[in-house]
Amino acid sequence: MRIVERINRDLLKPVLETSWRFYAIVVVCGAVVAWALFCWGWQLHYGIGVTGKRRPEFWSLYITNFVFWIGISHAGTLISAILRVANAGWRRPVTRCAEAITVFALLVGSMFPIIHMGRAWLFYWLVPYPNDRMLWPNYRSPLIWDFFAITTYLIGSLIYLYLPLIPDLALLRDKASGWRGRLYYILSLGWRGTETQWHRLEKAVSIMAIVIIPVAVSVHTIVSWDFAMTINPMWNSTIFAPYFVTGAIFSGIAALIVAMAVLRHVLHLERYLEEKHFSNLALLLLVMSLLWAYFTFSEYLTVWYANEPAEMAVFWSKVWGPYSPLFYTMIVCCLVIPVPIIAIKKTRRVWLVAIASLFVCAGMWLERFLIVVPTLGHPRLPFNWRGYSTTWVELSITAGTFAYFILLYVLFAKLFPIISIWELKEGRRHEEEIVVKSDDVEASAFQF
Amino acid sequence: MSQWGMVIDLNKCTGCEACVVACRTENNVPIAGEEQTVMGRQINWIRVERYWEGEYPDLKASFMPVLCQHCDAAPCESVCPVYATTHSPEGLNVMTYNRCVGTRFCANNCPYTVRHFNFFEPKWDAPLDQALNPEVSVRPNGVVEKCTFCVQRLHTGRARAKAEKRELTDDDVRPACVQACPTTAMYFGDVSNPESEVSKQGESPRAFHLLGELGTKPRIIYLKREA
Amino acid sequence: MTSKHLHFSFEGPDRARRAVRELERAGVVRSRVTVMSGEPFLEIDDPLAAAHPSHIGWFSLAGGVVGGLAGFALVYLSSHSYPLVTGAMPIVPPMTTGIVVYETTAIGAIVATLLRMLWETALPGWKKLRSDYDAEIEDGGIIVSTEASSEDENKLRSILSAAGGREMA
Repeated sequence: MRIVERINRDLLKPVLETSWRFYAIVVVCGAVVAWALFCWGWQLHYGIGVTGKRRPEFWSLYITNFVFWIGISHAGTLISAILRVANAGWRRPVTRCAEAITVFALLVGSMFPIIHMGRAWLFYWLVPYPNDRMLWPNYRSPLIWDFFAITTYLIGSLIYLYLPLIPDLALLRDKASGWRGRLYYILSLGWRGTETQWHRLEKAVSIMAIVIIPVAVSVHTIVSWDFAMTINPMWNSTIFAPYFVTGAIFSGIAALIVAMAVLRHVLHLERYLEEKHFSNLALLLLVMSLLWAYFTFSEYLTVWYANEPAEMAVFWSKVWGPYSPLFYTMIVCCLVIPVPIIAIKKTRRVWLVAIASLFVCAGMWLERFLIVVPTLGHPRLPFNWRGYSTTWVELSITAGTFAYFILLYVLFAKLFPIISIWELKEGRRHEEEIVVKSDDVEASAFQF
Repeated sequence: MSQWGMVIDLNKCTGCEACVVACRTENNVPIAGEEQTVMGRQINWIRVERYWEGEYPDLKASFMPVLCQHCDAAPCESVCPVYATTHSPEGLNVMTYNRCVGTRFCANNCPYTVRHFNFFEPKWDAPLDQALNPEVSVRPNGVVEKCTFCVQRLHTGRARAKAEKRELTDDDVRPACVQACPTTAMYFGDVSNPESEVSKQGESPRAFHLLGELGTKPRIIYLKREA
Repeated sequence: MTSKHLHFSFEGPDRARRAVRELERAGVVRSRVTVMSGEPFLEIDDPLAAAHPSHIGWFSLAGGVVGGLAGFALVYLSSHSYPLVTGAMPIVPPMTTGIVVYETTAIGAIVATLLRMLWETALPGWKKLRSDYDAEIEDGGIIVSTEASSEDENKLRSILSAAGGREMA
C-alpha cells in the first residue's frame, strides 16, 4: 500500500471507527461533569459560602484552577507556533494535539472567573457593551485585561486550530458519509487543494504563528498581574510575569506529553507519535523544569534575604509552616522526579516521560495553590491571619472541569483527525526528498 | 467642599467594642452565627484588633479599632472590574452595592483586610430583623461591603442643613461608631477646615497612619498610645 | 461553445509540472489551469502565486492598526463618558490602556488575516467544488485541471496524456 493511503487509513481510523472505549470515557466523564454542574447549581443557589473561602482567603481553588488551565493552554502555542516558526519538522504530528489542548484548556479555564464570582449571572458586566446607563468596565482593573487577553487568545487559537484543519476536513468530506459527511462538507468550506489555496493557507498559518506567540505570552503575563498588581506580601513581585509564563509553558508541555501518550496507546498511533517526539518534548520539559526552578529559587531567595516581616510571614508558612508539606511535594513533583527521568537517556522512554509529566501537572497545580492561598492567609495585619480548608463543592467542581476537558478532547479526537494528515504527508515527502537527493538518485524518479 | 477624615486616640480606647455594636446596628450588618464566625466569615465593618504583649502575669493588651481607612490612593478601587468601588470628591471610598458582581479582588487588595463579603444570603434571627435601619440598604448574597463613614448620615445631615438654610457643620454628621464611643476616642469631621476638632486632634505629635509606609494615604489618623 | 473541465491525475510533482508547461506551450493561459493536490506541492509552479502575490500580510498589518485604534478609542471614550476616580489613578492611565490596546491590536491582526485568507482562497467555495474537483487527490494523485472548449478538448487531452497523466472521469 502506498504511504499516502496508509497514512489516510491509520489517521482516519479513529475518526471513522468507534470502539466501546470511546463510549465508556464519554459516560464516565459525562457523569462527573453532571455532578459538578449540580454542585455549581448548589453554589449559585446558596452562595460562595458553600466553598472553603473565608476572610481573608477570598480566592482559593477556583482561581488556582483558573491559573492552572490558562497555563496548560500554552502547550499549543509553544509547540505549534514556535516550532513552526523555527521550521522544526518533528512538530508535524504533534501540532494538532497541542492546538486542541490550547483551545479546550482555554474554554475550561475561562469558566472559572465566572464560577468564582459572587453574582455570577452578572458576568457580562465585565464586557464593554453600550447601554443606557453609560456603564462601562474599569480598564484599569487586571480582570478586564484578563477578559481582553483571554478572548483574543481564544479566538486566535480557534482560528489557528481551524485553518490547518480545513484540508483534513476536506479529506474527511471525501471519505465519510451520512450526517458526518454533511458536517465536514460544510466545515471544509469547499476546499479543493489548488495551488493558490495551499499557498494562501500556508501564508496565513505562518502569519498566525507569528502573531499568536506574543498573544500567548501576554495572556499568562496578564493572569500573573491579577496577583502582581496587588500590594500583598509575596504577590507584588516583578518576577511574576516571566515566572508564570515559564510555569505555563512547563505545565503545558507536560499536559501535551500526557495527552499524546494516551492517544498513542489508545488509538494505535505508535508509527506516527514516535519515541523521538516524546524525547524531544521531554528535553523541552527538562529545560522548562530547570527554568521554573531558577525562577522559584530567585523568588524565595530575594524574599528571605530582604527579610521584610510581612513577606517573611508568608515565606515561613510555605517553607516551614502549615503549607510546607504541599510545598515540598510541589518541588518533588516539578523538579526531583522529572529531571533525572528525562536527563538519563535510558529512562527517557514514552511511558516514563508520561508519568513524569503527570507528576509535573500535579506539582504545577500545587504551585498555583501555593501562590494564591498562603499570601491571602497572611495579610499585613496579623490579627486577620487564618488557615484554609476546602469543601466538597470546590473539589467536585475542580474534578468536573478535569472531566470536562477530557470529554471535550475525546470528542474532538473522535470528530477530527488528531494528527494533521496533510502536514504529515508534506513532512514525509520532504524527509524522503532529502534522503533521495543525498543518494544522488534523480528526484523525479521516486515513487510516492 | 468638605473633606472627611477621622482621628482615633488610642490613649482613650478601652477596647469595649461599643463602636462595633453601633456600627452593625446602624448599617444592617448581617449576623454570621457561631460556626461561620469561627471559620472567619463574620462581618464587622469596624473591628477592635487586640494584640497581647509580654508573658503572664505581665501581660499587656493593645487595642486598635480598624475600619475602612478611606485611602486617597486606595489599592482596592482600581482593581474592581466594574467600578463598584470608587472615590468620591469628598474623599470617601464609596461602595455601589448594586454594581458589585462579587469578584472579591478589592477584598484581596486591601492591606487592612477591612472588606467583607456576603458568603450567604444575609439573615437576622427574629426579632433582630425588626431592627433594620431603613436608611441603609441590605446587601444581597455575593456582594462585598465595608465601612462607608455612615454616608447615609452625611446625606441626612446635608439635607437638614440645607433645609435649615445654614452651612454643614461637623456636628451634623457623626458616624455611628464615633457617636457610640463612651470615651470619645474617635473624632470625625472636615479635615480641610483647620478649625475643626478633627483637624486639631490630627496635629498631635502622636499622630500616625496605619501601614502608612504603603502609600495608601489613609483618611484616618491614629494617635499613638502613650505607655 | 460549451466548455468542460479536463481532469488528469499525475504521480509526483515533476510530472505535473511538465504537464503544466506543455499546456502553456500549447497556448493555454496559465490562469485557466488549476493544479489540485491533497498536500501542498508548491514547487510545481509558483508563478500563479507570484503573478497575483498574496496581500494577506498587508491586511494583517492593517487589521492590527485598526484593532489598536479601536481599542484606544473604546478605552478613552468610554472612560470619559462616565469618569470615575479610582485609587488616585488618572482616568486613562497610559500603561493600563496600552495593555488593552495590545490585545485589540492582536485580535484585529488575527481576524484580518483570516478574512483576507478566505477572500484570496475563494472560500467558502462549494460551487467550484461541484464543478472542478476530483477526490482522487486524497489518495496521493495530483490533478491538473484545465477548462477546455469542445474544439480544444482532444488536443489538450492528448497533451496531458503524453505528459504521463491518467484521465479522471
